Amino acid sequence: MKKFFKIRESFAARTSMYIIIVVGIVFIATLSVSFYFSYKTVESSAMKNAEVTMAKTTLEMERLLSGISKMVDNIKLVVEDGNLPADTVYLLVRQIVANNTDIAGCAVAFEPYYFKDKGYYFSPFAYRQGDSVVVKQLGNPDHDYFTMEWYQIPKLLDKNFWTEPYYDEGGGESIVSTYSTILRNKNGEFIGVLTADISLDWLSTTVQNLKPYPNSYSFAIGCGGTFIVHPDKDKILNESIFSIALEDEDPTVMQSLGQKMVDGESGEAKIVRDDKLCYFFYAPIEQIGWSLAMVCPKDDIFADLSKMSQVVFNVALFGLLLILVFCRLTMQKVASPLKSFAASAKKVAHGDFNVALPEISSKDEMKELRDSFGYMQKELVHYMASLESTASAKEKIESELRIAHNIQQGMIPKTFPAFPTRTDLDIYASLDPAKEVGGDLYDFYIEGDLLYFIIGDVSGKGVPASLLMAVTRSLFRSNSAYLKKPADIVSSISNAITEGNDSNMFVTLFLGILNLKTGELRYCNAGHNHPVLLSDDTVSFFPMKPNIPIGLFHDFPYEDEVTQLANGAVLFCYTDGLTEAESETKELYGDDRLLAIMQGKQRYSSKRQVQVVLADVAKHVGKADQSDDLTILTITSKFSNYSEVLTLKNEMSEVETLKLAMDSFFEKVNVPPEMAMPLQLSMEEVIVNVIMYAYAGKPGTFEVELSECASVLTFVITDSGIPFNPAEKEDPDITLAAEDRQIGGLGVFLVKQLMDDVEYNRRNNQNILTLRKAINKK
Amino acid sequence: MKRLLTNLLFVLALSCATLSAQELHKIIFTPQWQTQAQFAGYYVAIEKGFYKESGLDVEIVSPGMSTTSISRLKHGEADVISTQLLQAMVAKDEGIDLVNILQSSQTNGLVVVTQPGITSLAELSGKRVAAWTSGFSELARCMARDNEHNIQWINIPSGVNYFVSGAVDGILTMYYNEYFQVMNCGRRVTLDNTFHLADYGYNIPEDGLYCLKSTYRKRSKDMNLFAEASRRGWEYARAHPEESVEIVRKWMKKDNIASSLSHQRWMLEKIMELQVNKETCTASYTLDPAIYKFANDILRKNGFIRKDIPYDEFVAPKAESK
Repeated sequence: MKKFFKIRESFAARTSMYIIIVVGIVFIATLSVSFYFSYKTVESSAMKNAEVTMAKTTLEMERLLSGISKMVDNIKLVVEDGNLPADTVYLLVRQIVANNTDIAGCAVAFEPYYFKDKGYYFSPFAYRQGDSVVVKQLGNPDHDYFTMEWYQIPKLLDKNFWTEPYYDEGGGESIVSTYSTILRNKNGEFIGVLTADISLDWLSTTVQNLKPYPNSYSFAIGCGGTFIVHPDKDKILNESIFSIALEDEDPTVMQSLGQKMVDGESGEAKIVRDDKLCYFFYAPIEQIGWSLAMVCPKDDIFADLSKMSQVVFNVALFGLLLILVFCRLTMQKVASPLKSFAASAKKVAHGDFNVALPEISSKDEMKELRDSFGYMQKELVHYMASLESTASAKEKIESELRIAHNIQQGMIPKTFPAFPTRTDLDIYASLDPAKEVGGDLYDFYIEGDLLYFIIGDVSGKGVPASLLMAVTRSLFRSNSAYLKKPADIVSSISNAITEGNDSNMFVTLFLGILNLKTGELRYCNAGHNHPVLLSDDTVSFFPMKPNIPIGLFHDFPYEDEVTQLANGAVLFCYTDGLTEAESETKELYGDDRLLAIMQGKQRYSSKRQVQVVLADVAKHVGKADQSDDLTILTITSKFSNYSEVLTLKNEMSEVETLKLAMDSFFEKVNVPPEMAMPLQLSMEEVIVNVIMYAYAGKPGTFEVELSECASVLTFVITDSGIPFNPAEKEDPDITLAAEDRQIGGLGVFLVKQLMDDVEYNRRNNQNILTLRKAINKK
Repeated sequence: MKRLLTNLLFVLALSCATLSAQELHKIIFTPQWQTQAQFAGYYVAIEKGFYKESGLDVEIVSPGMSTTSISRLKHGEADVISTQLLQAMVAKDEGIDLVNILQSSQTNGLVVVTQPGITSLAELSGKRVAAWTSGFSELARCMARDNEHNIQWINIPSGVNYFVSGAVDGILTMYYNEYFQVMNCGRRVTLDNTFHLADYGYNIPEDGLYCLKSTYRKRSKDMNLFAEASRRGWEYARAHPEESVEIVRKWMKKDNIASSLSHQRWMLEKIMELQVNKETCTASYTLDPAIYKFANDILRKNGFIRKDIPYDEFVAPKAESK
């Protein structure tokens, strides 16, 4: 049951709630509209009803009043005739009262001395007392009828007149209204009045029967607003609609209604009586100038409607509850398989593809879902199987590619320094394929004093390019063995590749032969990028003919070119993978940036030059993928240099020997004295290390080569001792106090600080340490 | 023992109370009309025990429809009556030897109300104005005569129906009584149709308390105590109007007289206004000799009295000294 209301957790509860909300809104809207129209209908029918009832009542009264007035008007002719004996008037009034049950009393009142023998007052009066009719003479000094309203007002107004109701003390002891008709003699002179009294009892009864609702009431007011019929007897003839208005919070409402009533208007209004909103209907009794009003509390008028609304509301509420329960149970039933599906899905996720699915007997969407689920299960099994085989195939390819990569890397010379014993050449190269294997290539070898080198770029990437790269490299090696001109070599490679090049692949090449003794460079370009030439203080692109890449045309006339490199000039060759390296925003690295980064790097070692450029490229590329194979080959030729080789024993006395040799070396190559000292110190540090530790106390020899080329001093220390790489040694933390530091390491640190470049290699069981320092000559 | 003592004390207290009741001096008082807020002070004085405190046992007997308070005084049916100054003077002239012991009214309350469209008294010349057959209207008739307004006075017993029906062009009303009915009868009358006699130089005070001179001679102390306690009653009514109206209505109910709350409220409020002298703005409860002289002159001029009535003869010494 608790879960019955868990809207967040239960699909069924939530859906039921939505349905209930929508149905509820529809219910409320429908009920509101229906209530509104019912309200309007009830209101207008109440208005119409009141209007009709009031009209009926006033008409009834008018009829009665006019009946009496007409009757009296007819009888007066008998009196006016003048031949009527005075005493007969008594019979007349008795007759009138006896014959007309509506008449409570009747009088004929004459002017003073109309009948000489009757004196000042003469007014025979008949009135009903129980079942009998009593007759008397009204006038006497204590009852001066000449000032009475029923006598004097018609006389003053000179017209027949209905008096305001008054309490008849002399006659029927009840509230009456008197109709007075004027009596005239033959000359038209006023001789008195003939009157008929009507009891207001009948009016009270009629008005009080005007009660369409349990708490409604009616009242009547006279011409001056005085209550003449009212459920509260104390108000009759005592209060007026205007006087009770004064007790209201806002008297003007009732006052203006009262004014309309005494003005003979009819209509309706809404008023507040006893803190209840009431409808107030009023209509005049025109003949007499009175007005009738009916006060109906709004609650009464709409009692049936509100009762009905209550019932309808309750039924609707019950209906909503029923819908809620029904929806909830139905939804629960419909959605119950979903829970089993959820459990199954969880099991599938854990690898149990053969988990049993819930049985669905229906043929609806749930059944469809079950079928789809089953289908998915089946497909998953298949998919997993094919995934397994694909994965193993991929693994195989990857492993093969790894091997290919190793093979390709093995094809190119990767050991640097490539020629540690040659001080006239500094060569360094780097090949970084974009994929496992690439289409870039470089190669070089020395034959005599000639350096054969090649850098190339096969169109495309990946395995196909790598195959052509391998072929090109092999052709370079084999053809350069017997062809001595770069153009011939290029042509021969080109022709070999062009033949049977069905896949229309091509290779850009730059091939050169550098005479290490003279600095003469013969070269041939086959559509490759212009290398950068660094000499003295200039950095520029190496000028050469573009020609076309190889593999496109048979027997293309490639031509040799020759140039003389300055001593220490650097030829920086690369593939387009460098200048076209793309950043994250697809910007190319570009020629300008390359020239800029190379600026001032003439005296760097080849290795450092490559490292600097690669670091700059890496910075440019950022997190973007490497777009192409990137290859650099940099060659520094130092053909005109001075060098000497010392062979020293591992004895401390040799330190002095070296010192002397260095002094004479510095003299020869014009090293300024201020630079000599730190260099001496560095070298001393290095060879003391070798003497002390390289041979672990056993006697041994080591070589020190001192050379100079293009203002760069190179010191190569070669020993056959235990492997020791001072370049690898971590720098000591010189920020710590001397006593906190580890012992040792400072010497190597000093060497690194004083030298431009410290390079260590281990080859043929030898430690080869190369130190370089650019100098400013005297 | 204790209980016995308590009982004894109770009996003693009871006998004392009976004794003092027996010692109260009986006074029958008749106002000039049936119970209404016009006489609120007297009913309040009874209800609040002011008369009893003065050693008086006062009974109020209303005059009834066929008789007047003066007539009751004349026939010894009332010890003290309330009546209007001019009527008291006429009565005195006619030989009823009465004296004024308290003058509650200080301002005249007669108001002429005219039908819509008539906005000055002069316009009433040749027109009908309803006035009571009883003598209250004399001052208005005198004023009309003095100003040569040729008014056709229509004698009526009471009420405002003559006015409502349109049979008359104007009606003489009492500010505290019929004026309220006229203003609340649905005729569109305003202050433009309202003329206070007091504003036209005819400010003759009205209600006061009177007794026969012979009575006063015999029971001057009782009469003065009655006047004093009545004054207290009025002062209480001024301070507690709502309570006083309720007291009056209670007495009206006892006398089977239908009462309208709003009318009785109005009446008390206006009576209180009229008890204040328009010039001094105080309620003195005494008859001003100058005003008395003016009243005497009007009555003489219009022939209502045959000879001047000296102030000293008309006002009881005790009342005069106040």
